[in-house]
Formats: sequence, C-alpha cells, structure tokens
Amino acid sequence: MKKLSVLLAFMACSSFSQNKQILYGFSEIPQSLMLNPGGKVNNRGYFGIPLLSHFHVNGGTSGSTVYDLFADDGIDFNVKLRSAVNNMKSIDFFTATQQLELLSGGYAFGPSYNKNQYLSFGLYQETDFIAYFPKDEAILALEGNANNIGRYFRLNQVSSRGEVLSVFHVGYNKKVNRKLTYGIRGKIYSSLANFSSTKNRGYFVTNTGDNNFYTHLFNLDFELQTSGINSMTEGDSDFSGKDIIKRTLLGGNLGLGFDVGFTYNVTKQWTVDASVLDVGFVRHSKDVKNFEIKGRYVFEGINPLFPETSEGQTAEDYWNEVGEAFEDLFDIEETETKYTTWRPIKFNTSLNYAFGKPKYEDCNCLRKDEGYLNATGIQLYAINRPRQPQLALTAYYYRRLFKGLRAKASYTLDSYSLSNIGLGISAHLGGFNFYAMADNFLNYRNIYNAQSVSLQLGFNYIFNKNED
Amino acid sequence: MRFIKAMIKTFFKLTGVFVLLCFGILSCTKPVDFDQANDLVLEPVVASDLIFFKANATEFFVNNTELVTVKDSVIIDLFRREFFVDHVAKAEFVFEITNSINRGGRVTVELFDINDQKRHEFSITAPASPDNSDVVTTHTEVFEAQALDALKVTDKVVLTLQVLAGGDPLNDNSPGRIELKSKGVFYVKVEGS
Repeated sequence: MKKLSVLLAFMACSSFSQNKQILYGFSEIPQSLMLNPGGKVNNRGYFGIPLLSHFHVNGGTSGSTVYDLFADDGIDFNVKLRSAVNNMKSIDFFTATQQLELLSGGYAFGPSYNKNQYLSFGLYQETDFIAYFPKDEAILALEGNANNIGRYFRLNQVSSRGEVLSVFHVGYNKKVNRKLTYGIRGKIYSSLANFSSTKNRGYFVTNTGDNNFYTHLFNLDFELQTSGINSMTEGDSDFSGKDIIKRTLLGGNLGLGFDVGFTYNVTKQWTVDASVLDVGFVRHSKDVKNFEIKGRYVFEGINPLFPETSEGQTAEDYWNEVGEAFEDLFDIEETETKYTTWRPIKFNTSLNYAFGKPKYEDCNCLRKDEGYLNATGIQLYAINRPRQPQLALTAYYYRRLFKGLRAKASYTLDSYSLSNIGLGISAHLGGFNFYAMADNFLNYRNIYNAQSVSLQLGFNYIFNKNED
Repeated sequence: MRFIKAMIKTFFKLTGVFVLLCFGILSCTKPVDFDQANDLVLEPVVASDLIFFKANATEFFVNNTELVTVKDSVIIDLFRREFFVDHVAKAEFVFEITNSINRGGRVTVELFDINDQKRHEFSITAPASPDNSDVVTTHTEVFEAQALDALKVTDKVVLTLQVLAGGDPLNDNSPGRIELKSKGVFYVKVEGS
C-alpha cells in the first residue's frame, strides 16, 4: 500500500506532459534547438556542462489529484476513492516524462564573413510513461458485476505505455536569408526498456440468461509487449549497471527518427515558426517478451445432471471441457515476437511579435542593432498519444531584463488545467549560461493539488557572437 | 582568473537561490495523509452462474422404469483457492426451481472436503404441479460463519435430484418439465495493508 501511495504521489507530483512551452522559442538557450531544429541561432557555438546541461521532469494527471484522494480532511478514504473513480473518465490519463542531457554541443560554420550554418549534436536519455484510467476495470474492482448486469467492462480502457531510451542526435540548421531559417535533426534511439499495451479489445459482460440466471460473456483480446525488461526481472538475472551503460550506448533496441522545423520572419517584428519532433520508431527485437490473453467464452453455469452431450461423451468429459475452456480463456500466452513502437510525435508552432527597442540617453550611431526588448506570442503544442492527441495552447511574454538576463512568462491551456502559469529565466554571465523554468505556479500553493508540474534546468557554456 | 572564479561563484549562488526558491515554493502543501491508503477496502459483489438443468418428465422414464434419483458429483476447487479463502466474506447460493410435472422433486446439495468428509448439506423441495402449471420454488443458502468455513474447504459438490412419491406415475407421455437455475453471489472484501 505504501508503494502504491508513493507511486500515486509520484504520478501526481512529477508527471509532465512533454510540453516545454517556456523553452520553446527561447533562442538564447541552446537547448531550444531541440524543440525546433530550425530555430534562430544567435551563438557561435556552445557546449553543455555534461549531465547538467538539460534536466527536465514533468508529470500530470488530467483526472483526480493526489490532494483529492489523500487530503487529511477526515473523510473516509474509500468515499474519496469512489468519488474520484466516478468523476474520472476513461480518457483521463497519468503521464510522466523525464529527460537528462548527457552531452551536448554545437558550433556555427560557413564562410567566415557569414557563418550561417550550425551543427548541433548530443546524447540524452528520456523516460516517457502514459497510462489511461481504466474506468471499467476500476468499477469492476470496486463494485463487482452483481449490480452491473448488462454493463460492458471494456478492455480497450486498459491502455498504457512506457519507455526508457537514449537518443543520439545530430542537427543541421541553416539561415538561408534574413527571412528564413530551417533545420533538421537525425536521431538514433537506443531503447533500454519498453512496454506497450495499447491495442486491447474485447469485454466482459453479464447479461440475464435463458438457461440460467445469467449469461457471462467473455471476449478478451489483451496484449502486453515488453522489451528489455525480461532480462531484469527473471529469476537468475545478472543484470547490472554495465548493461544500462551498454544499452545506452547503442546496445539496446535501436530505432531511427528525425525532427524538422523552420522559422520565418514575416516582418522585422512578426515571426512564425513550426516544428515536428520525434517522427520515428524503435524496433524491438532483443529481450522481447509479450503476454497475450485471447479468447471468447460464454458461460451459463454447469449442467451436471443432464449434460447436453454429443454422442459418446460422458459427464466427466463434459466437466473437463468446461474446465479447459476456462483455463484456455485465461491462459497467458507468452511469445517473443518482435514488435515496433512509434515514438510520440510532437508538433509545435508559434506566432510571435517583438517590440520595444532599447533607449539610450546618448546617441551612438555606431551601436549595433540589438533587436527588440520584448516579445509576445501564442504557441500551439500537440503530442500524439495512444487514445487521442493532447493539445496545449500557450500565450507568452518575453523580456530582456538586463544585459545578461532573459525572462519569459507563459499562460497555458491544456488537458491538465486551464490556469497554468509558467516562468523561466536564462542568465548569461560571460559565456556561462544557466536557465531554469517551471510551470503551474498557481498550484505550488498546494503541490498535491497540482494536476501537472514541469521543470527544466541546465547549464551551458556559450561562445557568444558579440565576443568577437 | 580571479574574475572567472568570482563569476562561477556568483553563478552557483544564483543557482542555489533558484533551487531554494523552488523548494520553498514546493514545500507549500496542505496536510495530506498517505497512510489513508491503508484504509482501502474493495468490496465488489460478484455474481456467477452455478449449475442449471432442464429435464422433461419423460426423461425420468428410462427402460420402462421410473428413474427416482439422478446424482452427479463435481470436483470443484474454486472455493478453496487462496483468493476465495482470503477474501470472500459471505456467499449466497440462490436457487430457482420451476416444476410443471405432477410429481414433487427434491434437490440436495452436499459439500465434501478433500478427505471426502461431508461438511455441509442442504436441500430444496419443489412441490408437484397437479395441473402442469409452472410452480416456482426459490431458496437462498447463505454461507456465513461455520457454513462459510465449510464452503472454503469444499473440494467436491454432490448434486442429487430425487423424484418424490405421490402424484402421477411417470411414463413416455408424462407432461411437464423441471428446471433449475442457480447463481452464487460472493461478497468479496479486499482490505489495504
């Protein structure tokens, strides 16, 4: 039970959507290129401080929060649990995402008078988990079938997937002219562990019957696919840290993918951009173990005295048949069939307006054009999920505060909440860059009631253009 | 060199402030009590068909003799499985007999344990139907306390149908039928911790 509560707390406190609405378009931070390979680049090069350059966690629930369930309010836990189950829908979900950049860097190249191309590369590790709320199964566990005659308990509500993988990537970015910048990033995925159970079908239903009180109808088609997990969990497992490193370094189940994106300056002040990320797949062929329950059976009870036996069948044969039918129905078939998973594709786009030139008391005509101090805009984010895509719409305000400090505040509407306020800062001290961003600030007053929390931070060393 | 050192210092100071700020904000919580999960009680009520039969009066006339008793036993280990033993707080067996034969019937259910010792027995008597209309008899056998303990060691169920004396003698043309429906209602209780 403790474990369950910790897990629930984890889900509710640390789940994220993968949306990084504050980092998106924050072009002073090199990692913004990971969200749009065709984003603006305004440095000559950078390297991320290893292991510290980008850390991201995010968790969320579109349904009940930890506080809904565990508030110390004197109300019986079971009452709260039932109301939570009744209030949630089968499309409600729990998500958790985590990313850690192990290495990253980039440099500008091209003719010395116009280094308009940029190569960035790195290695990061990612964990991604989503589970939908299996409402029918929760009702079955809470209430049973006796008072739910005629109700279909559908298996497609059991939908969940999770993966831990490492990603090697190289991105190319080119500023074609003043207006257009585009970029593409190739990725090699190495999956450390994966499970997927998203295509379940069938149901269990108890109807009133003809021969007996009821007809119980089982129609089950359930599959759980796993890779990289069996070797960790089997009895005589010699799985060790070495295996994690090996799998991280392309020794896992491999896959390929890409990101593309562009930025277009419509005018000096108006900009549109868009990107598509993680168009790719992982082929699971090593350490695969799948579990399948498939079958259809109608049960009306047993008829011991006058079995409708075909000729020559004894009552005992009839018994065995009933017993075997049940065993077959719930028999878990284990296979090692290779499978392919698609990565969750992400889409970002934004429309931005920059304004407010810095004012100087002295007129210095030689001063470089330092651009605008403010920007505002709207961003749309979408991610493809097993049951339906998730969307988020963000409005933001960006401001250059001092020479070395940039801040961005965002307001986001998404599946989790309609009042998500985020804040991010990027500090630049010489070449050193530190950035941190978090969202859902309104909910920090009571973190247990937060439906999602997202946090990103990191350290880089940047070779700035104006240091020349 | 000194400048860079100072810079790094400032940098980490800033980080420290930010992290502290984050944790400061994060620590804002209203009281929650995760131990409540220990109070979790799942109490589903599971209903399942048990046994049934349907027989015409003529089926009791075999080889020119009246078949007085039909009996069969079923080895059933469901009731002594771990989940059932640990989590079933109460069980009810509900029977419904519909008789339109002009002879009474008695259904007897006997529960035997793995050593073939009888642990529980009950019977239901369905009266005869002189005018061959449906006579419905219901019976609910409740398993609680001792009876529930007996059910939880049951390995074999013996079902006996007796055709009672009185009424019309049975032959190849006897009208009517006898039907039995039954279900089990299991009150499951799964508690946390």
